[in-house]
Amino acid sequence: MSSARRPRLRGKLAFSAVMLLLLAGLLASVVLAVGIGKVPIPFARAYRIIGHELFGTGESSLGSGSEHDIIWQIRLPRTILAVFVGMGLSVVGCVMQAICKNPMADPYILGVSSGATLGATASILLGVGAAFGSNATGVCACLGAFGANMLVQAISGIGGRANSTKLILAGIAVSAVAAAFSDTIVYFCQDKQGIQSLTFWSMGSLAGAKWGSMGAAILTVAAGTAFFCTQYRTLNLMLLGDETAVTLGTDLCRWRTAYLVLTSAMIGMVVCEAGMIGFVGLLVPHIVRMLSGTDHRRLVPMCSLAGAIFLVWADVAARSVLKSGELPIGILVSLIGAPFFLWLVFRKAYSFGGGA
Amino acid sequence: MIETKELRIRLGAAEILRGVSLQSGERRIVGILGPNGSGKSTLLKCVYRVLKPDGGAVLLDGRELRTYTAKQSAREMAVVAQHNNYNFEFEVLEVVLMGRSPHKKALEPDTAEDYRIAGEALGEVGMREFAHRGFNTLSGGEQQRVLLARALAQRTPCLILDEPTNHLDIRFQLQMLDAVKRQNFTVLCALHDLNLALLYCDYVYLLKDGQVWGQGAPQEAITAESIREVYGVRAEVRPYPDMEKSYVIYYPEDRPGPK
Repeated sequence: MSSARRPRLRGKLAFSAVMLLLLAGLLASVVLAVGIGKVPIPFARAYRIIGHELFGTGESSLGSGSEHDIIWQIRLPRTILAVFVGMGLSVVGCVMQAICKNPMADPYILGVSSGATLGATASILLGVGAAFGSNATGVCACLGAFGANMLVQAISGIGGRANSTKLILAGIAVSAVAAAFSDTIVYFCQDKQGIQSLTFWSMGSLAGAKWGSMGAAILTVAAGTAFFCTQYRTLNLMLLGDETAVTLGTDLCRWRTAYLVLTSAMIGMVVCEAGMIGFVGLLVPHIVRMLSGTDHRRLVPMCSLAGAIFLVWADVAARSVLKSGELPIGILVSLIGAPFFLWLVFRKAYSFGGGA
Repeated sequence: MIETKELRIRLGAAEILRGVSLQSGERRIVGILGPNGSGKSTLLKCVYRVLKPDGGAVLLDGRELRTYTAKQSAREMAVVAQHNNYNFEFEVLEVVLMGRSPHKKALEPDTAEDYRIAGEALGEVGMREFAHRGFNTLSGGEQQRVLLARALAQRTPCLILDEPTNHLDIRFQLQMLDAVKRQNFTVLCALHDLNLALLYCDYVYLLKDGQVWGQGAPQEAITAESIREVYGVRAEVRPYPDMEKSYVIYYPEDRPGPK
C-alpha cells in the first residue's frame, strides 16, 4: 500500500478559483491570439477594428481594408473556432474515456475517425456530396463520423446489452471496414492532387473558419459541453461499471446511447469545421485529471476550458511557426503532445489512476 | 423484505439455480451458505438485478422486482459485492458519495446533508481519516470497508452482501459484521465462513447444486451431517464455552475424526 498523495483540488473554493483562473486565461488567450500573426497589427488597432464591427464605434475606415479583413475575417473567427474545437474535443475525450471505461479512449475511437475519413475520401476523390456546397468535404466527413458511430452502437447491441468492451470491439471492426473502403477508393484513384488534399484534410486545420458556417458547430459544442457538465454523477458511475451502477440506481445502457448520440454530433461538427485534430482529446483530459482528480464534477468543466486554451495556442503556433504558410495543426499537436504525454505517463505520480 | 420464488437461471449450458425459494424476513441477518458453484452469488445477482432470472420471481416488499425502476430498488437495497476493480482513481469520499445517487434527481447537486451522511458512514466503518485518500491506494480490506460505507450511505432498509469478508483479516471480518448487525438492516449475506454464519446470522439457507438443501436457525442447520452432505467435509460442531453459540472444527483427510 502506498500513500502517494497528489496535489488535488480540495473543496468548492479551490475549484471555483481554478475555474475563474481558467476562464480568465481563456479570455486572455483569445485577446492575445487575435493580435499575433504574420502581419504585424498593433493590438490597439486590432481591438478598434473588433469594436467597430461589434458596436459600430470608431471611424468608418476601420470597417474595410486588409487589416480589417485579417482581424475580422481571418484571425478572430479562427480563434473563436479554436476555442470551441478545443472544448469539444476535450469534453468528448473525457466522456469517451468514461463510456469506454478506458483511459486510452479518445474522441475518434468507436469508428469516428475512419468514418470521417471515409466521408472525406468519398467527397474529395469521388465528388460525393458536391451539393453540400463549399464545405462538402466537411459535411461528408461529419456524416461519415456520425454514421460509423451509430453503426458501432447498433452492432454492440447485438446479442444482449451493449457494454464498454463490446463497444470498443465493434468500434475496431467498423473502423477496419471503413478504412478498407477508403483505401480502395484511394487505390483505384488517379487523382494525385485529390489524394494530396485528402492527406492535408486528415491533418486538421482551422484555416477554414468563417463566421457564416461555424455557428452550428459552436452551438452544438457549447450545448453539449453544458449538458455534460451536469452529468457528472452518471459519468462517475460509468467508471465503476454496469454491475455497480445498477445497485446504485442507474441503468448505464440508456445513458451510454444518449451520450454517444450527442458526442458523435459534437465530433461530427468539429470534424466538419476543422478536419481531424488528433491527441487533444486524449491529452487534455489526462493533464486536467492530474489536478482535478477523477471526479467528473470538476473534470468536465475544467477540461472544457483547458482544452479551449490549449487549442487557441496550438493554432497560434501552427500559423506562426513557419516563415511562409502554416504548419497543419494536427502535426503540431502530435509533435508537442506526444513527448509531453509520454513524460506524463511515465512519471510515477500518475498512472491513469490504475493503482499507485 | 426480500423474497425469491422458484428462482431459475441458466448461464450457458449449465442450470445454475433450479428453483430457489427463500425469504429474508425483517431486520435480521440471513446467511446463504454453500460450496463454490452452489449458486450463492448467482442468486444474489438475480436479487440485485445484475442477472435476469429465466423463471420464478424476486419480490421486494411483496412486489415484483421487475416493476421497480433501478433507482427505486436502489433506495430499497444496497449491495456490497465481491470484487470491484476500478481503473480510475477516485477519492474515498467521492466513492462514498456515490451511495447518495439513488436519492438524487438528474441535476440535483450534493448537499451538506449528503456530505454529513457520507462522513457518518465512513465513521461507522472506521475510515473517516481516509476520506481524501485515493481509493486505489487502499488495501483490499480497506477498500471493502469503504464499499460498505457507500452501501450505508445509501440509507436503505435492506443490505445485500456477497462474501463481504473476503480480503479482510479476522479483526475486520468481525468489525464489518458487527457494523452490519448494529445497523439493524434486513440482510441477505453470502458467506463462506461457517463460523461467522454461526456467530452473526439469525437464519441460514444451505445451497447445493442450485437448490435449497436445508434451512433454519444456524445452530440447527449447520451440523456435522449437513456439512458433510453439502460441502463433502468432515467436521464437528461444538458449543462455545460461555455463550449460546457454537463453532465448527474441520478434519483434514489424513486425520482421525468423525466419519
